[in-house]
Amino acid sequence: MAFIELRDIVKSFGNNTVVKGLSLSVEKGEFVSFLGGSGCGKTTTLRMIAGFETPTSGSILIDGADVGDVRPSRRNLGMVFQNYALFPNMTVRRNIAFGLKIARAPAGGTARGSASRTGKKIADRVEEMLDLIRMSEFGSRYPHQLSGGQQQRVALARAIAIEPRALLLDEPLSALDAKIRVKLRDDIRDIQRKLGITTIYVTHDQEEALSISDRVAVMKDGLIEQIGAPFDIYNRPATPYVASFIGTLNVIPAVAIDPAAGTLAIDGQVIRARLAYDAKPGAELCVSIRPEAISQLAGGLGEGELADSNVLEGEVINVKLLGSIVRLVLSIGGHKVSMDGFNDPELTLPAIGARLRLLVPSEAIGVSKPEAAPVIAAAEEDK
Amino acid sequence: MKRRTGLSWLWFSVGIVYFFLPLAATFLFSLKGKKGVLSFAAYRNVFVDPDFLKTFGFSLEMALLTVVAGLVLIVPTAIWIQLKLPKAKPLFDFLTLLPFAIPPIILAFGLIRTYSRPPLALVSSPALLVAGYVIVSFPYIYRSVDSGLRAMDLRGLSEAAQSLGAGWGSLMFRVVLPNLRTALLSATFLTLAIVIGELTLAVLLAWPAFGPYMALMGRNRAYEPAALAILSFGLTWGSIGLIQLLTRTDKEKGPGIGTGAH
Repeated sequence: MAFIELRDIVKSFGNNTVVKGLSLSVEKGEFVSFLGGSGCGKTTTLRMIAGFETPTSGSILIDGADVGDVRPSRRNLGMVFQNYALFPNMTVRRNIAFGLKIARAPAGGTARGSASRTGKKIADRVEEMLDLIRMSEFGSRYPHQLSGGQQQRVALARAIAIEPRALLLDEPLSALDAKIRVKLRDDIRDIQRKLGITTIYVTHDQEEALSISDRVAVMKDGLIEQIGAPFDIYNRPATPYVASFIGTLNVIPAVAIDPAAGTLAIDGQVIRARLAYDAKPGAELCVSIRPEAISQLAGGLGEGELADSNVLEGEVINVKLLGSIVRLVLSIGGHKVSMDGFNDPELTLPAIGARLRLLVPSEAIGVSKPEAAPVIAAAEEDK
Repeated sequence: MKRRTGLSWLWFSVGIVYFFLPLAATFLFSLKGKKGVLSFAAYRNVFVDPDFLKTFGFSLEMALLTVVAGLVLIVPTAIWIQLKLPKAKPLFDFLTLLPFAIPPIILAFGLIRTYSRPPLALVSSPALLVAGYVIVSFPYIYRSVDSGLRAMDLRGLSEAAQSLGAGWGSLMFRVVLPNLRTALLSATFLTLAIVIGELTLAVLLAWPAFGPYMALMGRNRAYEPAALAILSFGLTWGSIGLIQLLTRTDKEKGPGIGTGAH
């Protein structure tokens, strides 16, 4: 049985239904991310698990028990917030000890994992947490004396100090600088692996979700569009939305020529997909190609290459430097096509308006009907 | 630039003269209790007057009760509105302005009419005076508490505390109130300063308070009222100074702590 189970959850605020019958199972020790744009219901879903929002209908089970009537303070779930929510009147040590002291206190105390700790045990646990987040020397500081990244690490330590049944993180890195974000997300994943704690992570950053999760749930309009391992989500998007939301995918209109041979025409230029597709000749289709699968053809094609590759011609309309990647945006018959290549100091960037010949391997070409989900060809072959 | 600085100083000096000249004149006048010499005789007369201590003590007691009643009533209400009824906040903000709009004399007559016959014959009880003072100090307490709450991200902190197992008691006493310390101090001192010198309610409800004592002195004596005015100013400024001092201490400790509405 799943450790956290959401059964047909609906949440409405007045006439606005933000979660529309969402179901999900999270296994013990698993790291699941809710990924989606603003207003997709990811944070609301997380807040319902935490108990800060009540589902309009449906049920939430944690460790087999329905927690519908359980107050947030009794759910024993650690929560990390986007704005850290550290107690400004307490030092780092006292912030981390807060939940431990509550668990020890008889009045209003909750039966937590390892309740009734003595003062010494609490102090030891706090030091252990400080050590875990590598902030032992910052224990006596107040939150405002720390950087954003440090504050979020303290918030993480405070949430896991109480040995919660699961850890819930609500866009914990979105207020931080890009570099710290990458470092901290690795830290979060390391700590999660070390403790084996079930984690649900909300983010709108696909790179973040793909890089740290066991499974990613891509959400749209209050529902999960697709849930799966990051590799599957990226390479086998189940819906047009997932395909467009995750990574960059060129979806180019094409016309079927010979379905059995896999040939199609893009703006009059014939290309061949490696696999046959199901359509009538002359039918309107879509060709999907990841930007990283396209390369620039410098010279001519060798005999072996010609059999497996296609050459398309396009006009450069934009050149973007994305750090380690250089993205060329070309126009092929009026359709924008992106092409990614590694950044190289020796590289000569093409001028805007230059015409380039592009090499597109047959196995990188996916073919789909315009209304259906784009197909990522290489992954399709792996199936 | 230099001209602008000179102009600023000119306006500042005009302001200082406007505010401080009458005060200095009052102070000087209060020192003329003995003919021909400057002395603190008027102050001495005030302090040895048994009515001074009696009325001041009474007003201080009423002020402290007002602070306690006001805070007990208003702090949880403000927190509740912020957390659970944010839509009601504009209405509440409007209500807090009513004590400014309704003259104290109307308030006093309203209280007398409502509470002078059974079953609520409270007109001879000091509780009615305290209730009136709570209404008068309501805007000051609410504004201080509200600005303190807004400065501390109440929702975020309360959710963080709840996720760590805290019930409402722990949330209030370990998180909210310690972070509202300065706002509560502001509310306390402002209430003390207002209530101790209050005249209308005390006169109309017939209580021997400090306000009526000062008014009586003003009618019967020459130099002592000036001394009382200076003492009263000293009390108010002392309160404001204390707020500033404590606010500064808290600012050094960390941001996100309300400084109250002054």
